[in-house]
Amino acid sequence: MIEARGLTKHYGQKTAVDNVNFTIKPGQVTGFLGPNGAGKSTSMRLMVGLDRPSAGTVTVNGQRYSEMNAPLSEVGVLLDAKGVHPGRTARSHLRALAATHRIPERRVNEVIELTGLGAVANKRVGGFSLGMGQRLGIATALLGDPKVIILDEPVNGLDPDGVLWVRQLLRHFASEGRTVLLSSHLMSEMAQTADHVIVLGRGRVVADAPISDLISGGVTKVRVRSPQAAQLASVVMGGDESVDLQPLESGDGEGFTATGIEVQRLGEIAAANGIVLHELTPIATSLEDAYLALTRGEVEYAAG
Amino acid sequence: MTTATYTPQATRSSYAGTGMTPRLSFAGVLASERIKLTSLRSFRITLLLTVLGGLGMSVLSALAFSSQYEYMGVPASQMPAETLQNHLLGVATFPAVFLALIFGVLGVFAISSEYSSGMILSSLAAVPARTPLYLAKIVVLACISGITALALMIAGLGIALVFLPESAAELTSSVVISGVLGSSAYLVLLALLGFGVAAMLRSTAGGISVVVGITFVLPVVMQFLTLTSWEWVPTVSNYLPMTLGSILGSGIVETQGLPNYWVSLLAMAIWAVVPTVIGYLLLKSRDAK
Repeated sequence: MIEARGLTKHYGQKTAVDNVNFTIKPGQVTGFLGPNGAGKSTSMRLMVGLDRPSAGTVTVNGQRYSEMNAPLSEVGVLLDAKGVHPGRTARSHLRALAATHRIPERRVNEVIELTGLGAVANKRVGGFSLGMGQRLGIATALLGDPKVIILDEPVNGLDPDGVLWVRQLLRHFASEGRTVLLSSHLMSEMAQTADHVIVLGRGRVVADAPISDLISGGVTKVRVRSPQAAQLASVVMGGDESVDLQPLESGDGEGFTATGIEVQRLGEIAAANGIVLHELTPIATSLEDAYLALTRGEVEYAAG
Repeated sequence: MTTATYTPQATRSSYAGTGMTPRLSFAGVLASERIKLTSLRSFRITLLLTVLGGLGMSVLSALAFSSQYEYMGVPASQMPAETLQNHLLGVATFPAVFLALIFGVLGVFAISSEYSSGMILSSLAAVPARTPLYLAKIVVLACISGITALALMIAGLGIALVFLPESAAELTSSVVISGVLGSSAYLVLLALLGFGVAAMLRSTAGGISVVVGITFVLPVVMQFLTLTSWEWVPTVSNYLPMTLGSILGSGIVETQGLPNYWVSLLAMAIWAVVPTVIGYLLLKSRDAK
């Protein structure tokens, strides 16, 4: 459980996190979604006490991070794959951090195996690819077998195999009742990994909802193909003012996309009027659409 | 690179049933800092070069001294105690003047490498209270630099004995012992000076520049300023680390016009403590990086 109350962080004149409130629950994967500069990384740094909040608090399982007796067992964190000295081997890096908590050598070997670093564990980190660096970062986060796992952009630089592996790993941790938080600016990644999404934009919480709500929260569209499309359109428009119809692209045949009407209602209207339908498909708004709609105007650096 | 196979069992805690609970402790942080420093190849190489350079300079110094004795034409058995003491300390503590720079740089690296690599984020995530981390770094740096300095001094005495065996008579004199200890303390304090400055600046280049400035540039500047008649110039010059180091390396003897041994030790300690304390206060109050 991670709780932020009135959490605010200024860097000089710039406000990175602006009076944010959220609760991240255990037993599910929560995603921080937002464009670059939205405050995802800053919020995570505040959670583990790397930066000091300008106002407000953030606690993990009811405690401030800096007051914990065994921080690595409470929270595992991947903030930046570069949080490693390039001159050290992966094993030395893990051993050095494990030593602070008297975590046994056996656990170091375990996380090396778990993250697939066995073959390169004794090589210097400077020569690692971005993907291997990410795996080492994840291994570091798992060292203390933590109850809460916070990963900033964990799939950055991973190959497809690695992405799948991280996804399964995070789902597994959530199923064990741990709190899992990951950030991404990729909507598709969130859709496949997270149960719950907190959308950030310009340091504020734009949305905080289960991913299913976020996807269906957009307006439902219905795609209709019919040889009697024009007739159907006039009946639909005549019945309800708020329905919006868009003709299909010419290659898709005769029909339209209706916004603001339920798929059942459209089917009933067609049946009542004896209109032949070739297709009647509800189109869920993609997370991408929802995300773009939510963060429009919240993007710090817009193109053009 | 191998592909990780997904094995849920492996994620289970390995502590179950072993009775071992991970817990943050100062002893653990100390062990961590020791692993951090000794696992860096650059640190090991710098240390090795320090030892080789130190020994080489001791040999050079011994050669220079020996040629002087031949010139003086006094048989070694008739040399006064003071000459023998000067020989021992001259050979053993002479390299400290140059090694000062390397020890300062070692101190800089001990903390600046964390900032240049980003490792500081991992370190502070593991030790969020920060004070134990900083203290452990100081202890490990002081131990490693102290052991290295002392070992170099003892090796230097050995070299001095090889060139002038008669000087063995003065090996345990208070002057020689205080000189060797004073010179070692000087090097440790310089390492801490570099450490403190780097903790303040959080930069390798900045830290090294300041260390070089204090140890080598300032003395030259002061030398130039002696051409003026400003009264403060010799006073300031007397309290620069380079002067203090040579006083400490001469042992407890009469120092005409210069601060004495104990005052020099105190002054050198202040040079080390001030930046180290400021660096600590900044570490406590600033964001991680």
